[in-house]
Amino acid sequence: MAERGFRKQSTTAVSDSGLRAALDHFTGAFVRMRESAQDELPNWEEMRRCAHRIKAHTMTRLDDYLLQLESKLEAAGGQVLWARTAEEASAVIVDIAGRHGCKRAVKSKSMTSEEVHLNEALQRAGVTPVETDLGEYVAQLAQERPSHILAPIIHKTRQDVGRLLAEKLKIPYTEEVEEMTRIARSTLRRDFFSADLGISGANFAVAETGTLVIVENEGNARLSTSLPRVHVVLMGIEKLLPRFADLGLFLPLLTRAATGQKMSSYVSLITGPRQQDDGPDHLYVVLLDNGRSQMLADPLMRQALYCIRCSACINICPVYKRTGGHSYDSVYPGPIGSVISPFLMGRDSHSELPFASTLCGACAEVCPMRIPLPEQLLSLRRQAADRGRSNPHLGRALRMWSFLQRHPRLRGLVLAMARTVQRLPGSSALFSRLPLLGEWSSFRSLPSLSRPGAKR
Amino acid sequence: MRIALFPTCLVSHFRPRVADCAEAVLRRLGHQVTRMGEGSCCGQPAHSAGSPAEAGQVGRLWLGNDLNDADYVVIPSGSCTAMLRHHLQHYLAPQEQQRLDELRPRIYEFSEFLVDVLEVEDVGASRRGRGAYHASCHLLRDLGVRSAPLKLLQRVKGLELTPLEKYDECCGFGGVFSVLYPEVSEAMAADKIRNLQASRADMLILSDAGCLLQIEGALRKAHSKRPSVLHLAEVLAGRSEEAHG
Amino acid sequence: MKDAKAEILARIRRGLGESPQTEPLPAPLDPALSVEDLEEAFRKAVEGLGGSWHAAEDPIQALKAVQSLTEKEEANLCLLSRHPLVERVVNSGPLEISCVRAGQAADMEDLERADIGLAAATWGAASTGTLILSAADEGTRIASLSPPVSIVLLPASGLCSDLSEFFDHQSAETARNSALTLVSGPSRTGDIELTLSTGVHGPGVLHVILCRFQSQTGPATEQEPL
Repeated sequence: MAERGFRKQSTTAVSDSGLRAALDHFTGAFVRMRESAQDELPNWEEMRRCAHRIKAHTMTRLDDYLLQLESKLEAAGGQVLWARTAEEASAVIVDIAGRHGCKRAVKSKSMTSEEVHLNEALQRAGVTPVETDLGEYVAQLAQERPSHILAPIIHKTRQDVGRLLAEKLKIPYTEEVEEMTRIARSTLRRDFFSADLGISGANFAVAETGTLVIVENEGNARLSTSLPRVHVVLMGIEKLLPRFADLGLFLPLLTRAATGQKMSSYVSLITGPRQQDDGPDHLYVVLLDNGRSQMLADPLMRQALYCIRCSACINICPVYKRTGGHSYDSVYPGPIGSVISPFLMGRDSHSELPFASTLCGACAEVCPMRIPLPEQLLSLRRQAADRGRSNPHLGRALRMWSFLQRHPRLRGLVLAMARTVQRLPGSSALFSRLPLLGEWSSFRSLPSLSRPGAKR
Repeated sequence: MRIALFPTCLVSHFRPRVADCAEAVLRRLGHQVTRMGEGSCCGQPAHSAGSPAEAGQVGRLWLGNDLNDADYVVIPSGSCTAMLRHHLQHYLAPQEQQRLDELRPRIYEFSEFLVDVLEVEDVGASRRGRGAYHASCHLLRDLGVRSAPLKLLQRVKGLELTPLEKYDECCGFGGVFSVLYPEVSEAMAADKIRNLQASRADMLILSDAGCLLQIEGALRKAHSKRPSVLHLAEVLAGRSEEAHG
Repeated sequence: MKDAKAEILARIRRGLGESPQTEPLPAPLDPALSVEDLEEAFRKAVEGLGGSWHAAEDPIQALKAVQSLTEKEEANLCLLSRHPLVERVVNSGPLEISCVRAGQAADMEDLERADIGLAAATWGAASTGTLILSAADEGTRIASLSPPVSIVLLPASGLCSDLSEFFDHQSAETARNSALTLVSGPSRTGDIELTLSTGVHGPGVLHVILCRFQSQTGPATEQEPL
């Protein structure tokens, strides 16, 4: 396991009591908002099942639907580009910027753009990217990665944000949220009006009509996709929905599961560049694979492509709640992140994440898409172990345990010795130096071994 | 009814009283109880560690245990029941599936068996004190057993059930997780214990030995004698004249 | 990137196998929430989101409502969309505030100075209080977006009970529309400590005026006397 690994980073995170209190408070609030929003609908379970089946269908015909999306978008005057890898996606977008002479980009929140490290690529090419979602803007000022896919600065207090704004914008310190919001609005206005490139993701793309769907609350996605003369959408190939009518199901499913809203403040349904209106002259859609087709090939992993990025699994996850998003060292934290990061962010560098779960099952219970997250984590553990990427002590211990299970007399002997050793003074000090047992006794006492089947 | 009680490896090695108590409850209700697979394991540790070879080896051994013509297999653990009911099939060769398929519909977790199969809620138990219930993850979410343990506990004379904040949140055990990420596991156990102490319960009642070792282990390491941590079977076996089992 | 397209499609087909087992596509679900009194449900939803609700029987009443809202908000410059309903209302009498039409704004500065916007929805979904604005009808994407205060005219004839009804019936709209925008309440954010704050990038204040009179849709009807 890598030096940086989850264990090291989560150990730092759990010892930060402020962070833990904040995470506990805010994930708890998200959970309550989701619960009350889904309880309001009498057919929430039916919605989940139907949405799961629609995505299952879409994936089995993904090639057809992508081609349909492409032809509809081109008929509407948009251009579709394809990218096999993260690097290719960044290169395509840099190339678009170069072709149109764009120097200033405004971005609305897009995890996919974080996945491909787009900002770094734009900067290298002399294009200045400005994140415009309030949370992303603050994260960018702090030169940090978002720690949550929906609430990027869930790990920061208002005082943290206030100090950061004061330092970076050279303004007087304030910790009033309304005031900080107003400051961000007026600062970013200048960027919106001077930008020549708008970059967004897409929550859904409708094959039937060639419509790109962007869900938000702030209005920055609307501005990013309306004001600059070039609009680029970067989306994973899994974002497709077959029919326009499917939005009637998927939008409420997303907004209720994500923030507990009946509907988000703004949903933009974009079909092509401007017609009679004042939108962008050019619309480009970049379709990104970057490991997704590999997930598609495995029927179990394929189901992770149904994900609508609502973050319900992240908010309910008892591990995420203690460690925060940065411990995962991925754009995608929490249970869904532990499943998809090995595919999208690097297989070897993220092979540890599937182990960073207690398999408590809370994630699958709340997932609006009914993604079998624990089963997927188990499957990824098997794959990691196969490639020699699981904990070596664990592998040895399991082999020994299996051997002893198959040799009961030897097992009896070993356990008898262990019972004897355990009764010796100083045995706990000895055990605490052994691998795994040492980890167990770090905060837990070792229970005394009994003789199985002894008459009591 | 003839019941084969599988104690599970954790109970056999660390808390045999749980199996004794489960056996006592079932006998009290008039059933014949034999033990099966004392000291053996269902293979779950290898399953959760992603080691299919070992999971298959150990699970196969479990299937070879003598059932003594029992009608049912009863297990005082939601986690091991879930392993045998849902997961073991993935580690077996086709010719071994038949034995599992035969067995599977007859395997029940202890509280599930009492309430759903025997249709008993009052097992004639009594125990004085204030108890809080922790729902073990696999019992709750893999098996979908939510209310059975509470129904049983509500009928225990003298027992006052007190609500536990986040009673259905994981305690941080998670099998191999507990030794791979002890720091996060500790944070989770600490929160569970904080909620437990806030509940003012003098006993925590749960139905999986994994959670029991985790929470009790953390309490004892911190030299805290109370609250006591009990398996559901230990509470249900209690009779007022026997005081504390 | 011709190669990329071919390769991605090939990977997908390879991943799905020779004969992909096609799951059937289920029919769209019926909406769970049906609404009896559309206007009342809409009012409740808009107010629940922090918006204000007004109703007008004719263009002159609508104009009066607009006038009083601009006064209440102490607005100085109103950005108008080119929606026929907006045209009809502002042409029905004198509006005592400087106005600038979207697309005719002299420069970005005008846009930035506009402190109130007047736009019109083409449809509305009552259960969520959602206004559906069409860029084709509005002639702009920003009259309801850029100014800090937004007034949206809502034709009573465009009401439906739930968004799913809209999505079921209006897919053809996307062909003539580069942008359809669903607006449910004011702009909001909870990014800092989950504390709700309004008006972060879009309007922080939303006023909806229900128009119980015919919306005009073409240039021919626009010339009819009011």
